[in-house]
Amino acid sequence: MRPALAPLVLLLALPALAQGTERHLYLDVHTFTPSLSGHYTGTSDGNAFNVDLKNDLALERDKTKLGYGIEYQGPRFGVEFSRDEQDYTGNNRVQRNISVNGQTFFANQTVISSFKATNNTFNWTIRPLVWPQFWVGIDLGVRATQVEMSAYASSGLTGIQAAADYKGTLPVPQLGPSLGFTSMEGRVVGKAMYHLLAYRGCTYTHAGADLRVFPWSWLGFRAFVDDEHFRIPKGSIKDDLDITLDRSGLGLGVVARF
Amino acid sequence: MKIGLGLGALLTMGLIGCGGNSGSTAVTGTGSTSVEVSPAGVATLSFMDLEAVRPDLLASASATLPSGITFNPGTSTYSFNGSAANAGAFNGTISFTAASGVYTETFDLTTTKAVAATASNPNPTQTWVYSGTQVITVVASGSSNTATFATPQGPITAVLTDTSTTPSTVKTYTFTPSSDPSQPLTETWTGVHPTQVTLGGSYAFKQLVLGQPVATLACAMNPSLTWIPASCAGYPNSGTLNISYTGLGVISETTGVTFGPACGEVAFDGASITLGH
Repeated sequence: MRPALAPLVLLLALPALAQGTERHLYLDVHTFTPSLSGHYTGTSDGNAFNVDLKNDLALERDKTKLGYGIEYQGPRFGVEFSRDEQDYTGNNRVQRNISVNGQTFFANQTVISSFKATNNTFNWTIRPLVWPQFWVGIDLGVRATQVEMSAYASSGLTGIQAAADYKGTLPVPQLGPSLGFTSMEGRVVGKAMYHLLAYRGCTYTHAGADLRVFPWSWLGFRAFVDDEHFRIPKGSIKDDLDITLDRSGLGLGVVARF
Repeated sequence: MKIGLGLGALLTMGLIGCGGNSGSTAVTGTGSTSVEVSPAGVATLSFMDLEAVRPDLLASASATLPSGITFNPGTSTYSFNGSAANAGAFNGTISFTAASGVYTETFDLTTTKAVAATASNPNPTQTWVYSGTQVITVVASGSSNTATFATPQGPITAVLTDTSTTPSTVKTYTFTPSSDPSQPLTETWTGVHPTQVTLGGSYAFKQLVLGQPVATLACAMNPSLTWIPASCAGYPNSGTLNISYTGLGVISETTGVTFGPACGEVAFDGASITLGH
């Protein structure tokens, strides 16, 4: 991390030159419906996992609840907190034995599953370079993704019913560059970011772009894209679990500006 | 600002791997009472009941019979007064006629098992009635013997009456040996008192329930079931029944029922029961 921090420290000396960008408080509600794929393999607290979210469970989007965000954006820094939730469900005849939290579901059983992801994001954007209509910054924050997974199977052949559920949280630091702009006298506001983390064999990337249009000075619409990838090998940070998660999608929302 | 960045970095990095885990699991329906009347249970236990007198026993007048079975050579009748595969009372007879290595068996067997009582149903039972005819053809080559199975005069029926449900459940199954012509149900053994008996091939049960589509249970033995009479007279010591279940619309499932290593022990899909107990 040290080589990466060096240019950041240099950039931190520049906010004193910042000027331009106005101070605003944003409140927004939004929907975000990312695709989901990935797998859990290994053990957690001694319980076996061996399940692929797409190939085994065939998870598909079920419903997206309204998310919300609150943020302050000023000339030198911005702070934001946002939360959103997505539900996925699956109903699939598994082609192999799979395990969820120590419970085995046998090949050829029809497994009914659900997967709920709740994301809480806190982000602090430091803006070392600010021009009247453009800025370049550094994001520093954390995004905690709480996963609730459940699976159920009832065998017509054996009469055996099995169920398993699992809840785990993946808190991931958010570090990376960001940039933004304003135009049309503040009626169009945009920003983009790329967060990257490599730690103990894990890699995490999170890229996004957010465009806001304000027909009224205090009320506007928001569209954003978000692309997130977890690669967590066994024995790194999450017990003895090998986890991959890929989420990507488009979000839409309404945003108030003060 | 530099201090803030440093603290922020430390705090966020410290969060890595701090997420907690929790969860639970539950398995129901593994009790012997429910497993035994499941399609997989029927395909296993009823087959064991029907093969209580194996062809090697049938072909040897001096064979040592499993406990609870007696043979009357005068009437060529086996009488049952012991425990069935589901541990219920096993009563009735298998009588046969023999001619040139062809044994025609007639089944008239009943198993009755008491199951858990409730306030409204103090004496519930699960009763199986087996009836029908099976033809065993034994071909000897030196001391080696091979038996094949057929039911040329109609299938053997196995009728379950379960009074633990309201109303009582009645299910009829028909047993057919050699469901797959390429895998005929075949038993092989050597000598009059074999040390090992092997049963391979396939068989099928069809589940006939009034008002429901016919469900088929096709069973292929791979590896073959193996009896070692000296250590386990009544049940296989090893082998696997690969059961495919098709019926009730689009439902189709498979499972493997594995015998052993303990005498009478069978396991499938996380459930384990002991035959005859």
